[in-house]
Amino acid sequence: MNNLIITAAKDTLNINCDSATGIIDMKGISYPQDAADFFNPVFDWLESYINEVAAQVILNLHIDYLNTSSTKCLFDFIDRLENYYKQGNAVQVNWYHEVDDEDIKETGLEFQEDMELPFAVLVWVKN
Amino acid sequence: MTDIDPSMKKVFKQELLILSKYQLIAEDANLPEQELRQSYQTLLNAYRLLLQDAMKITNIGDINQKKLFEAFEELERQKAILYQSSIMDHLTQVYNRSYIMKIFDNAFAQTKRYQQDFSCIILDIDNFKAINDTYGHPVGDEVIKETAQNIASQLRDADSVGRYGGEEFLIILPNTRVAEAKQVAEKIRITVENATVGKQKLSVTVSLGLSDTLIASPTTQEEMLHNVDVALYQAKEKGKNRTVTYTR
Repeated sequence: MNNLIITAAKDTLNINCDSATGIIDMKGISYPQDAADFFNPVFDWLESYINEVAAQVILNLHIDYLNTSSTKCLFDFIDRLENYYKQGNAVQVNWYHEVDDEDIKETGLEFQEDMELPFAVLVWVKN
Repeated sequence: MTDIDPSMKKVFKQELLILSKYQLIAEDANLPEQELRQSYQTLLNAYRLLLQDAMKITNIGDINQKKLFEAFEELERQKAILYQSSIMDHLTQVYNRSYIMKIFDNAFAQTKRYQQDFSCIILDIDNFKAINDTYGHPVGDEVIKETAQNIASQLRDADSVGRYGGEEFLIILPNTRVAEAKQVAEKIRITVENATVGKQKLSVTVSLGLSDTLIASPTTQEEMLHNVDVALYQAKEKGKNRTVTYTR
């Protein structure tokens, strides 16, 4: 199965989906004009992975800014992972924030509150 | 009217799906009461979840909006700092040469346009080279810094001072003629004379040359600055630590 690599633009995330490890990395800022359009390939990749590989998924999020429509898409994405987890599969979501970024930490905690799957809110040091 | 956020559009679409799913049930008045009640309960729960979703998205939206505003405010702060940095002399924190010359040009233009006379003083620290050679550049810098502070402390609100050269300052006094300018110049000179600088308690004096837009009626900025320069030169020649007014 193919990997998915989306290079960051000035208003969209860098996304890396590895079909060998099940690791999905999302990094940067997200305020695309059409969030649904932007995230569609990632949803498609996840469906293919779930159907063809059906192994663990680890979602690592290093996000500095999310507009409202991106928030909804990310919600739906993690929702899909929650369903996958509830079917007995290994899933882990790691939400990273810089030590003094209270806003992103709060965003992560908001997500964590709703989700019923392993969801960690962690500090990372940007290098 | 502003466009509806795309994420909220999705929420409204979901709402319509829920409504259409349960509309048929709700409209069927022949349903037993228990079934009708259950269908309304399901509808209510579905609405509750939808509202929770919408509130969560709004919450997260607000958090990120706040972040955006803070970033914008920080940008404005940095712009202001950058602007200040571009017009100030870093050692003395008075205007740099470029900016004081802008003020001078502006004052000169006002004279031409509105007949608003102004005075101009050039101040030079006496024997500065000797101070630098004897005590070193750090002390020399301290002398320049303190002199700038002493000048600034004696100026009126409308007056401006800038570092014109290494140890030279240019002072612009709007709406002021030489008689009044001389009073300001003397106040500065005496303040500097009475103060000491650094742990060496150095005594510093300054020479000042001044003129206004009436004396010799300068027609260009260069002419006026030349007049003030001549007055400063005379102050040095006559023994330093004095103010000289330009005369034709």
